[in-house]
Amino acid sequence: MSLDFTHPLALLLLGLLPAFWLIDRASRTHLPRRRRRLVLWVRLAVVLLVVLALAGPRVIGQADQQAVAFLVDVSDSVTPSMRERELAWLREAINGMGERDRAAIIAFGDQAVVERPLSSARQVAPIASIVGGGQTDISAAIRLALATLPSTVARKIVLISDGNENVGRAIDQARVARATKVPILAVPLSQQLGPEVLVRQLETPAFVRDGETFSAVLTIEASQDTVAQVHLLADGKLLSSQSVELSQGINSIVLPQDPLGQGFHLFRAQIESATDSFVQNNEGGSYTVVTGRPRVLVVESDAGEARYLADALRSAGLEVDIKEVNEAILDLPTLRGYESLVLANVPAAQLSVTQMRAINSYVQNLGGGLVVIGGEKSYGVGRYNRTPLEEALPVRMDLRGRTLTASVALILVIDASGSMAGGPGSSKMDLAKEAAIRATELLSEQDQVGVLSFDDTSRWVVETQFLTDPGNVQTQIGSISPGGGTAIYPAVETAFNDIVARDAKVKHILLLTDGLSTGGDYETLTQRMLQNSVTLSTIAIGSDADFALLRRLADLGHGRYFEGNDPFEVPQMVIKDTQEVARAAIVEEPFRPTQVGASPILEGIDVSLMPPLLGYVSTTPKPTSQILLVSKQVDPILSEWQYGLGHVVAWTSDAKNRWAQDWLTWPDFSRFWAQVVKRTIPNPIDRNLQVQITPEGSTARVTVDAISDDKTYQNFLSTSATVVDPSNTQSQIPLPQVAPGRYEGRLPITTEGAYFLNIVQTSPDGTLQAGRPAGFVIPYSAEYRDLRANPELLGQIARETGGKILAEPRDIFIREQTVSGQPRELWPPLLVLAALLFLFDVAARRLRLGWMDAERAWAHVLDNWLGRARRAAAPAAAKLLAAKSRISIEAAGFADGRRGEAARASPSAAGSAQAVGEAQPRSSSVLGARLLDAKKRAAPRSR
Amino acid sequence: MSLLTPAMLGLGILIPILILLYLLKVRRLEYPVSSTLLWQDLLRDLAAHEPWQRLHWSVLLVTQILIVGLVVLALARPFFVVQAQEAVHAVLVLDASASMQATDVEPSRFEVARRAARQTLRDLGEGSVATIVLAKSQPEVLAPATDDRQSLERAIDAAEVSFGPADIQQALVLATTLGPERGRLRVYLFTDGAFGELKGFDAEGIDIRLVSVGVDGENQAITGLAARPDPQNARRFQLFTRVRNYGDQPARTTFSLQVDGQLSESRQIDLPPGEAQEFMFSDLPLGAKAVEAHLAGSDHFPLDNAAYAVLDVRRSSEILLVSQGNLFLEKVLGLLPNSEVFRVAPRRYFSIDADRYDVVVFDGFLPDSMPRGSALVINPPESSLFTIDGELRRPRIRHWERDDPVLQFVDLRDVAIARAQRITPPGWARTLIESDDAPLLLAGEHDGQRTVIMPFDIRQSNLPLSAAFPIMMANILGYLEPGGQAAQRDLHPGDAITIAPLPQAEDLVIRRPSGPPKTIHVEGQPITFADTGEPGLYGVSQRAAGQTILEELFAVNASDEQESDIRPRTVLLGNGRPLQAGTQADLVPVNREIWLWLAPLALGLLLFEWFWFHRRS
Repeated sequence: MSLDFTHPLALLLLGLLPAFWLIDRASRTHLPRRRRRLVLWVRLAVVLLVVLALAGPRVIGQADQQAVAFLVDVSDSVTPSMRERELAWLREAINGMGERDRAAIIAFGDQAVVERPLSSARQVAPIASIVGGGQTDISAAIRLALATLPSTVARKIVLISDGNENVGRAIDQARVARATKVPILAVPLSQQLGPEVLVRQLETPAFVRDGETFSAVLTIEASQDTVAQVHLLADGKLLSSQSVELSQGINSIVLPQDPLGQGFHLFRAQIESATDSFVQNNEGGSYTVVTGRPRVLVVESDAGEARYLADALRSAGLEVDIKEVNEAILDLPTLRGYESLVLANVPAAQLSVTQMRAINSYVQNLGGGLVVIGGEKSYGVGRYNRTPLEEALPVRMDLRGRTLTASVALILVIDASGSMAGGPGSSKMDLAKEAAIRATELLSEQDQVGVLSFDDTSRWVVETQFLTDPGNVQTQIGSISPGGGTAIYPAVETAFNDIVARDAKVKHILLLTDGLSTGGDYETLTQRMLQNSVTLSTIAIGSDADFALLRRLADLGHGRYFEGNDPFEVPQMVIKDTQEVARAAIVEEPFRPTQVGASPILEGIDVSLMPPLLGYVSTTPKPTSQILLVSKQVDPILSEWQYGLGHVVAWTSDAKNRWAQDWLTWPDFSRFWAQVVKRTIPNPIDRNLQVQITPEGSTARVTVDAISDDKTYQNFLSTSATVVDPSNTQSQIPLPQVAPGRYEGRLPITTEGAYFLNIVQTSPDGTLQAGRPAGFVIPYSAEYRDLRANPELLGQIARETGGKILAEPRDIFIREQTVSGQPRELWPPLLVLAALLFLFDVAARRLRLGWMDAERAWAHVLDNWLGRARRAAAPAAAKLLAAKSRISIEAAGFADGRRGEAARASPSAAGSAQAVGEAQPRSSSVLGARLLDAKKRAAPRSR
Repeated sequence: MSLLTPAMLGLGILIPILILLYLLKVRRLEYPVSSTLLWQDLLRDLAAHEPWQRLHWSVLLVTQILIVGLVVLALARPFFVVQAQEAVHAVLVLDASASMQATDVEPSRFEVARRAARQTLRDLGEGSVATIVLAKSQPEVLAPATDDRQSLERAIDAAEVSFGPADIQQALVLATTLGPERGRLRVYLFTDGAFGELKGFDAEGIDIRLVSVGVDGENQAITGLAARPDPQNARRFQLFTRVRNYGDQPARTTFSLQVDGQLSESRQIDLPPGEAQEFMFSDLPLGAKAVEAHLAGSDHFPLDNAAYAVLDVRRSSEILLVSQGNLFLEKVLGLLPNSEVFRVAPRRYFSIDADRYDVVVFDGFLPDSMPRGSALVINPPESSLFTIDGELRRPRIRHWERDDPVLQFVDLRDVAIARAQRITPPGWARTLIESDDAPLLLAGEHDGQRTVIMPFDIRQSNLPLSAAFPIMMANILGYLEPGGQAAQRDLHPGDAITIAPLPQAEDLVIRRPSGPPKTIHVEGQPITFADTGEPGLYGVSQRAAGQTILEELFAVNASDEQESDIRPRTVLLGNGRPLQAGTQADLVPVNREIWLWLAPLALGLLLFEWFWFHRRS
């Protein structure tokens, strides 16, 4: 309860009060002092009342009314039967409201409208407002209710909903309600959903290459086992129609598609089912951009090496450029023009370090694909070890620490003749020793090594032994000292005799010499070597070596021949040979690959039908690679991994008529290699132009990050996007720069479906810099997807506002809170009071009423009461007495100069004689007292 | 003239009573006197038995009758029918967008709009009710329909202008749905028109009146200031900024850039009308924390003459991996930028203080009580956090939430899982990856701490070998790592910022651009800080045991491409028709009460009567 004034300024008129007082002070009237004071006070009271009335006082008391807004959820997730319950509940609630209560009804779905303004009517018609049911915006309903309810009565909001909010944030609006002290009472509608079949998602690859087949995956959720008809449309044309059996829960249906033409394609999937409640959720959209055929660069070590492979790839629809490694330009700008690079049996020696770095960067940073195909010159044999190329591969060439099936026995036959002491800088001998030491480093424990030095005679520097103590072996090698002639044949023979008895898969002799030798029966010796699987390589150093002999020896010995004038090349040649022979570990035995991993590469290929391979290069898988096929010895044959942005596939066998000769006639040969290469082909998008699209309410934010090949931000470009919306309307939105290398804009979302964007960047001078397509799908409203009720949200809203979950309709109108009510104007009673007081004022001045008069009046009242009682007791006698007393009272009254009471008292038959008798003496005695009083007062005054 | 409460005329009975008082003789006081010789006349009067006397008309009597008459008349509430404004339900929509802070009109557009609104209230017809709606990003009803002018004016006084755009359309839709039950609806829109057209609002059949404020749109603004790390060197930052002239005149202004409070750049720029200039700064000093840019000059909208940016240097977070040894996890966690990974075996977990780590990754192990930081739970045993209901064999990934930040850019098509725990999703978690009948990835906030559950052993899947794995793990750790306030984009004044304190933090001290710092006590729960009314750089210090353990910055910027364009414009409706400026209301006959004039008259007569009575001897 509070008081306020509509015209508080009028209170200034109270300043008139002293004027009345001053006038009174200067009065020349001759009213008695007490009377004058009384009259003054009465007058001041009258003025005060009038001024107060002018100020317009109002009391705002406690509201005894309530206004309740009922928020009724009419969104589509509220089924007809739930709606009936809603209405029944509403009727019962409104019927139970008090006399002075009023109720409003607000219907809400995707928006909120006042269905019925505040009224005290108890009839509730069915909801007639037209509200879109495709969404549920509880916050809009609360906002409208807060605006509708007057603040002068107790307010409440009753929220009848399933709580399935999908637009706005009701909880934020609830906080506003709390701030304005409006509790929200929530009535959760329990759900009664019918059978439902809905499309969760339609998935197609965002990008496909021209001529490529792909699959659309349709995810359908069903509330029960049922049958549905599935239609797939592309660009508005029906592609396929089929009947599918759905089981309860999530079902994935794979719909294989034929290749589509280049450009943007819009897919729609529709389902029809007899057991379905909502049709709005029976459609899913997706898009696919078909871009040009991927270009693949195949680099081969020698012409014809990759002939079969290239044919296979071409027949699978890839554009293939085939180049010999010596002719191929392998730098970033050239590689950018290809989606994938295939290296077919290319040894590292034929690639420069710069080229290998370019290949590595092409995969890691540009996201290009890389397929490395083995062969007798590849991987370990091709000395990929410790090159940028090995870094990019899913396998290591280093076999150390692995149980090698191909154990090695190696004997180094080193010329220690006097001529070896010479040489530029360091002696040839020292270089040969260093070469030998480096060779032992490439071997492991299960390998055997021997070092035989020779001049005129042969001498075992290192007895052939398992390499358990490499340090010791290397010390012994250091002890060779040159001197004497050159006798090659006996040394080689000694070495052969030694090695032939050794137990090793690979037996190899490496001859290193710089001079001419006396003859020997090399033919027979090499023949025996061949029979015993011992190979011989030769290295000729210096200008006076017997080149022809050494070359022939290597040929006969199935080894390699090296020659070099520069002695510094010796260690390198030794390493090369040792690697090739020992470490490369070419395994040549027929086997069928075994599948150990799953990958799209092997999709649709029956591994058990794969023809046998005849050999491969042994490698070690890297920890994070994925091995798909292995050999009998569980060495990786086919492996893949992600390297930076690019994908790399390693095939350690070959793809020609050496190890894979049975494969060339395999019907899946082409398919297999196409799948291998396609696996490495990146999304056909410009990696330097990243696009992210985030739908945010009625707009979608498009963020474009532009970067150049050398990893610097692309700034000050004019960027825009051409947008094609689901209704095929085209528009253009600008994407201004917002940060280094970042461009951003918003596009309005009008309808659900797939949106296609083509983003174009031009430099300030107008030249096209980059462009790429992008797309996104706006699914149908969440109203039809998340069909579960959300009573938690309702509880949260209720708790937030101090309301509660309501069970009984009649609880609504129980008053719980005090709220200021409608203000009540106070001025009329004030004016009435002023008028009456004014009359008293006048009367007091004219009639000089005193206490005596009041007492007399009181006595009359008493008489009346008693009189009535007596009259009832003795009516007859009383009449006589009354007639008598009337005369005497009238006389007394008139003598007193008064009229009122007496005149009135007599007809009302007040008096018994006794009563009159009592009244008179008392009044006379009072009169006497007053006279005395007046005399006393007068006395001092006269002095 | 008619009477509203004619019954009150019944009080007219007071006038005869008044006259009656004059008919009665004035009672004389009795004084004993020696002789009554001189008062013969009076004596005769007294002697007469008649109490009446003849009515003497006097000034007093007439005045008194007039007074009573006036009061009675006032009480009867006479009124004249006059031509006046009709009583309506007026909805006053105040545009509170940032451009209303422009000072092209004194003292500001919003203040002028406020004054106009007050005037409109006063001009409303007798008996009108009004509703005040403040149009901000969401319309707000400041005063629901009432005829209480004072509460309406109080609401207007309390209205505050915002720092962001306003959704005028939504405010108008709200205004028009208020319903006509309180008289004819009339909407007043107080705005500078500096917003886009009202596409979905054609105002058909609605009495809507525009009150325009603002005259001049001269404004230069810093409409963009953003820094990103150099792609080649993540520790060096590059800065982009744009300055635009929104006015119709060429402008010359001085742009200055401060790095960590030190002036690093100052240049004069000339801007043709409507043009923008963009700048890149790539030589920011290493280790710089924040930059601010200022435009000199006095345009009408000083709010956007400064912009602030925090260089997003994130604190390295400490991750604890509780695992028997998992190469894949160690490797992928080690790759995360800005994080330090610690490893502990499960049996030693209880001997260390897990609460001090920002993120704890549990691999095949879960303690009974969770640490204070956020957690990634991989292949967990049964625990109180959730229930495990057997095992899934070869679950197929049916669906994943591509739009969720945790799964952004993650392609799970090739991922196969051999076996997974069948977990019943707890209420606090949302399912991100679904197989047929059980979740394969869950995320949510448990006890205020973010928690992600991956209910399978990653070694029982090819996930670690897929391209998706590092992306997904980076996303998950990005979701779990605390801090990173600076990364919150587009923070406008008044926007709330959520600060996730470090697990061991006890207090947050928030330094504002001006004013005393604010200390908030925290208990591991994220804090929402909304006191960001002032543009500028804010500092957040996390403190524990009196020590600052983390110092971060965030920037609040008032600049906004749309709001910086403060040119007053006509408001175009959805049907292409411009909204008309407010016209004078049509006059309708209304009742005008006059009691308020009668009462002062009575007051004057009272004074006169009092004076007359007392002057009489």
